[in-house]
Order: sequence, then C-alpha cells, then structure tokens
Amino acid sequence: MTTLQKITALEILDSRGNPTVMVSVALNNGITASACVPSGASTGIREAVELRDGDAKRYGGKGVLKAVANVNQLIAPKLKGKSPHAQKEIDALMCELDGTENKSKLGANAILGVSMAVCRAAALDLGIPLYAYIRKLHGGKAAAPYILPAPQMNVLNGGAHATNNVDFQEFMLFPIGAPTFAEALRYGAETFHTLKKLLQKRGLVTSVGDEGGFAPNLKNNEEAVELILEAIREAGYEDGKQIALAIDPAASEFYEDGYYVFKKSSGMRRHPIEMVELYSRWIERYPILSLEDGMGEEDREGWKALTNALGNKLQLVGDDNFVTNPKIFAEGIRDGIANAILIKLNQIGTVSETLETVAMAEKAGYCTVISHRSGETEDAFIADFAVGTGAGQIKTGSLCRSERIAKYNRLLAIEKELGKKGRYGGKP
Amino acid sequence: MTKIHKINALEILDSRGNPTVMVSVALNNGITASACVPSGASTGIREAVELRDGDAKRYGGKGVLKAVANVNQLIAPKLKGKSPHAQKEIDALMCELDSTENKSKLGANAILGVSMAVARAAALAAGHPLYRHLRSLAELPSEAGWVLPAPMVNILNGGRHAANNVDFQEFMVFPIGAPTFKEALRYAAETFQTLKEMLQTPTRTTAVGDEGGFAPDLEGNEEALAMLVRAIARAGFDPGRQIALALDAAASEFFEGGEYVLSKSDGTRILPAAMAAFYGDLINDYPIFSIEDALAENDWEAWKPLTRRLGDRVQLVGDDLFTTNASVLARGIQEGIANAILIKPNQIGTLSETFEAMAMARKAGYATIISHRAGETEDTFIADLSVATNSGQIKTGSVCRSERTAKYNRLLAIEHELGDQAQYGGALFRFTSKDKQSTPSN
Repeated sequence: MTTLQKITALEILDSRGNPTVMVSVALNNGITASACVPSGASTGIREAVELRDGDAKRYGGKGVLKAVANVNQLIAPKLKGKSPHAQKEIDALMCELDGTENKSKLGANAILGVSMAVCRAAALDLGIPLYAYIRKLHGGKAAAPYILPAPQMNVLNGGAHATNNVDFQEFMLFPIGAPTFAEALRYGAETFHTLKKLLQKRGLVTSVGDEGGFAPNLKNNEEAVELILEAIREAGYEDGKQIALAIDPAASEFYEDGYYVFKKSSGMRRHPIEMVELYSRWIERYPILSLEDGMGEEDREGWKALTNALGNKLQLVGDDNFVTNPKIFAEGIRDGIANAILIKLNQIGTVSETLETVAMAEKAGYCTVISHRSGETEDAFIADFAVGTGAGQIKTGSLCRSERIAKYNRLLAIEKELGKKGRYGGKP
Repeated sequence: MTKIHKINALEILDSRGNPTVMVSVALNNGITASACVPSGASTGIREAVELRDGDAKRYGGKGVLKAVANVNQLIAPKLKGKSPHAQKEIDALMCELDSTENKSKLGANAILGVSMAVARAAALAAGHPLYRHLRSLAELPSEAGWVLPAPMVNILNGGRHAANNVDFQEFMVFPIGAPTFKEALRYAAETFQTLKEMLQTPTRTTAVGDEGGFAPDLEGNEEALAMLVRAIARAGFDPGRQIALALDAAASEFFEGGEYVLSKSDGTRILPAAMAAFYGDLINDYPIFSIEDALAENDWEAWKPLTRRLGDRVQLVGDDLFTTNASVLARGIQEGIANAILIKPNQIGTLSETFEAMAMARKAGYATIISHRAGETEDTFIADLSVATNSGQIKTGSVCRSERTAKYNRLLAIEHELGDQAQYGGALFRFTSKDKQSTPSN
C-alpha cells in the first residue's frame, strides 16, 4: 500500500517578500510533491489563523518557524504511514490535533500546506492530473466535460491598497465572451497593455501593486470605470459582450457606524439603502456582471437589501462575510445573502473543508469563484482546484507578476491537455 | 535506452504579460518535464534573437506561435528517439538546424526552451536533482563542492525603466556577509521591507516595477545610494560588511555622441576617459562592490583603462558587453576588459553554449553571475544552474513578485537539501578590500 513516509516544511518567501510555508511530502514509493501556502492582506475577522512567530528579530515578527516546526514535529509523526488517498481522514486528523475553532494552535498555514501537498502526492500516485483527482474528491462526474474558469482580472486598484482618490478596491476585467480560456487570457492581456499605454499617455504611474494592478492617481470611482472601458474599446473589444467588468469595493473597509463613507473621493456618507441605489445606477450605466463585498461584512441588513434588490440582475459575491467557512456560509444562505461565494483555501485551512463549502454552494445554487490571496506564491494549486470543482470562475490577479500568471499558464496547459473534453466557462 | 518520445511547445505568458514559450518533453519511460523561456527588456545588439510573430492582431505583434510551431514541426521530429542525456549533441543539432549566427530562423526562444526541458527530463530520468545533473554537464572538477550563490537583489530603480531623476538602472543590495543563503535572503528581505516603510507616505507610491524594485522620485544617483545605505543600517545590518551594494549602470543607455550624459539627474557630461575617476569617487564614498555595464557596450576602448584602474578594487561585470557569447568574451579576456560576466542563457540560446562561456570565464579568472531577465516566468531553472556551476553569485531581482522569489525559494530548498555540503558564496567574494569594509557613519 502507498503510504506517507516523510513530511517536511520549509520557510520560504511569498510574492510580497514575507515568509510563508512550503510543505514537501514523500511517499514510500519514491513519489514526492510539495505545496506553498498563500497569505491574505485583509484577513477577515472570522478567518482561520495564519501562525506567525512574533519574533521581532526575524522578518519583523512575520517568520513562520513555529508553523514549520508544527508540521515537522507535530503533524508529520501523526500522518506517517497513512494513505495519501485518505484526504478527508488526514484533514480531519489535523483539525482534531489542532483542537481550536480557527486553527490557531498549529496554524492554518501549517495545516493547509500539508493538506495541499498530500493532495498533489495522491494525484501523482494515481498517475492522473491534479484537477482530475480533485474532481474525484469532489464527487464530480468522471465523464462530464471539464470547465475552464472565466477569469476576473484585477487591473486597476483603489481602496486601502492604493494612494489615490478611489474608494473601491478592485476593478476587474471579466472576458466572458471569449470562445476559449486561451482567448480570454489574450483579451485580458491586450487590454492590460492598452490600459498601461493610456496611463503613460496621461503621465500617470504604471508601476504595479501586490496583485499586479495599476493604482494611478484618479479623481474618483467613476473615472476608474471609464478608464477601463476606454482600454477595452481601444484594445479592439466590445465592452459588455466580449469583456465585462467585475468590481470588488471591499465595502467593509469604508463601513463606519452604519454608513459607507467615501473618504478617498468625495467624502460623502451613504446609508446602506443609498449604496444599493448607487450600485443600481452603476449597473444601468456600466457593463458590471459581478459585485464582490458590495456591503460590509457586519452589515447583514444591508446585504439582504442588496440581494433583494439586485440578486437577479448580477452576481453578488461574498468574501469577507463568508470566509469560505461552511458554518458561516450556511447562515448566509439561510438569510438569503448574496448569490455567489469567493473560495479561498487558506480562509478555512484544509482541502476537504474547502470542498465542503463548494458543495454547499452548489446545492444552494450559489456560483463559486476560486480565489488567490494578495500574498501568493509560484504554486498553481488553485488553477487545478478551479477546474476540478467546475467552479466556472477564478480570481487570480492582473496580467503581470508570475505568482498571478503561473495560475493562468497552468490553465492554458490544462485546456490544451483536455482538448475537446474541456470548455470555457464564460458568463456566470 | 531512455529516449525522447515527444516534444511539445505552448504559448504562455511571462511576468510582464507578454507571450513566451513553454516546452514539454516526454520520454519513452513516461517521464515528463517542462521549461519556460524568459525574455529580455533591453536586448543587447549582439544577443540571440527572440522570434515574435509580428501579427499585430495578436498580443500587439508579440505572439510566439511561430516559435511554438518551430518546436512542434521542425525541432521535435529531429530530436525524437535521441537520448535526453546527449545535451551537447542535441544543442548542436538545433544550432545546425537553425543555421544562422543569432538563432533568428528557429528563434532562440524555441531552441532554449527545448534545451532546458531536455536537461530537466534527463535529470528526472537519472533520479538526480536538476543541479546535480547540470553539474555533470558543466564539467567542473569533482572536488568543487556546492556553492549557494550570493544574491544581488535589485530593490531600487532608475534609468530608462523609471520615471525619476536617477541615471543608473539598478541599485542592488548584496548580502555577502551572511553565513548562509537563507540568512542572506532574510537580510535582503528585511532591508527591502525597511526601504518600503521609508518610502511610504500618504502621497508617495510604493508600487513596483518589472523586477520588483521601487522607483521613487529621487534627486539623483547619489541620493539613491545614500538611501540604500540608510535602509541597510535601519534594518539593523552593517553596510559594507554584512550587506554591500551592487550597481548596474546600464551605461549604454546614456552614452550619447561619445559622452556619458547624466541627463536624468544634473545633466553632467563625462568623457569616457574620465569615467574611471567618476566611479572611483563613488566606490570611495559608498560600499559598492560590483558595477555592471559601467560603460557602453560599444565603448571597448574605454573599458580597458577602467578595468586597469578599478579592476582590483571592484567587480566589473559585462552584460550588454559580452551577451553570454564565448567568442565576444574571448576578445574581452584578451584585451583585459572587465573581470566578471553576467550569464543569461537566453542571450546565447542553448545550455551547452552557456556552459562554454562559463568555462571560458572560469579559466580566465572572471567571476560569473547567473542572471534572470526582466520578463521572467515561474520557472526556477537558473537557481539550479547557479548551484551546478558554482557561479557564486545570482541576480534575480527584488524580494517580491514570484517570478523573482521562486528562484530564491528554490535556492532555499537546495540549501536545505544539501545541508552541510552547502557553502554560501558570499564568503568567496573576492572584491572586499579593507578600505571598503569600514562602516559609514549614519
């Protein structure tokens, strides 16, 4: 029987130069696999805990030697001899060993690294691609065509992550009208380069932020949208039909005492109902198909009002409010909040729990968007995860920086490998 | 016998969102391996040619479908059935098939992708880590040991790639005084984060350029150097002893009408003969241990006196000057030009020719620095290449953006794997004269 022989962790760097965990797994038949764990910037208050050393003498306290030691000394001995094909059992065992609600003892970074590396080793052991193995774990039909996800590409930034007058955090290209993933990627890349030229022409900066997007000095939120639309047209695409828009306002960031305060642009205070009206006007004016975190994570009434008013007109994605957690998400479904969920493996901390959340979304008729984090690595696990679960959508940043591009490149390779057995997700 | 069964290319994207080539090789025993090709921003005039489609309807003419087709239709049939262990033969065969001086027919992007993927497949077939397999190709003495390279970490930018008043292109931290690679990386990362904190204001952006460096609005070249020294000290390190500076002037970019024109800063015009004194002053005032492309690639006459005057005090690296080309390097060695060479596999186009240039440099006592390109990918081949060849130094950008950090991460894993066998290259760096080791007061 194939068993886990050795599990070792190593402290490496993520795409922002901060330490993160890499886990390598060796099976008793010589097969080895590894996985790197991402890290979030705006960690929601209910997320699984990333364990950091807090030793100010190393990496400003951000070292992960404790998480590495937890893998090597606590997790590895427990898993040695187990079958790599027992993903659920292994994930449950780690949760039990941790014993906390939010994985704060061993660290979600330790646990997720092992969970992903085991998953990859099992696929190699079976001699099948990772996405095919994830489909098996997810209980997907073996004969059904695979879906290549439509990418939401974050090319323009405002909010907490940018020094400009734009309140909303992410303005994304959503190339839903492309015939294939490869063409969708080309639509996105050409528009990205056109946008860069437009910015250069206006004398605006074209250096990029953590996820590869531009953060030029713009007057307000509307100017950001207008600029992207101009880039789409200038690149030769039809806005709305070939390339739509997706917006992530990250409204929790500007929600204060029951109001949404546009500090960075006009300074206006808006009641939740006024926010719904604002979004209504925006989707009348602009080809926006997806709105993420349109309301603050604390503002459940606002979320209900938003879903009631616009839930049948566009995709409303919950990120900070659901944090990929089956229990929290179940409450959201019950309350009729949002109609889609952002899926981040490290918000919950194991492959099995993430698949559980995806299954719950499918049952409730919610769309799923598989997502990167702002601190990413060269690991392309989420590309296979998106194809394996048939999520239909992926959010993995801009058209530059290889922690983002590696995922797109993996999807190109998967699409080529699948040939006629794959089809492009397109419009949600 | 293990044979090449299938070779397949695919158009993927590099770290700047431009198309590049990925090549996958399958052996007859089921082993598969792939490699991604990088792309240069400032491609020197003597470099091997990156084949681009020129079809304005796709990727603004930058598509690589022709190079992909050349792999699939021209190269693959010729290599099918060959042993993946015959690297030299395979590389020579591709050069012959191309038949041009600069690989412009098949494209250096097509050829290099195959060259690297074959090496990786051969390593897997032999059950060796890539760096061990490459060591067997590099023809190093068996007692050579394993050297983890000292990284030149590019965190501050000027020149053509930045909208500020700085003429030189790259300002790098060079943690030669660390005990291990792992610690060297920490030194650099902590300095990078400290610099970021120093630059961040409500109105000043800390977004990054293609290689992950900052390009803040600075008054001139010296302000950039002084700022790095301050960042090193503020991060708690000793400038010059633990962390030195390395500079890439990219002087070809400001060589105009026989003069070096510092047009971005104060407009000073310097005659080639005066450049040695100019750099001499800089290395007196700042802990600069390495200068790359200090003079223009077509200013060979001035390179000689520069090397004579400064060559025993500072590492003088030729990049645009040599373009990883053994025949150009041979001329440089003969004429006493520079004392180190930047090694970029895609400047020459095959692994075998890369090893040839490196062997020549070693023999002549030139230092070697393995280098990334501005357009990189998630492929970490150059990390293994630097350990395999004991280059002692690597240049692979800032400590953010995963096309850069992936190489550092691979080196961390190699150092971990080698354990006691690994030696850190910083200790071997030879341009550390006493007068430069004093700590500037802050």
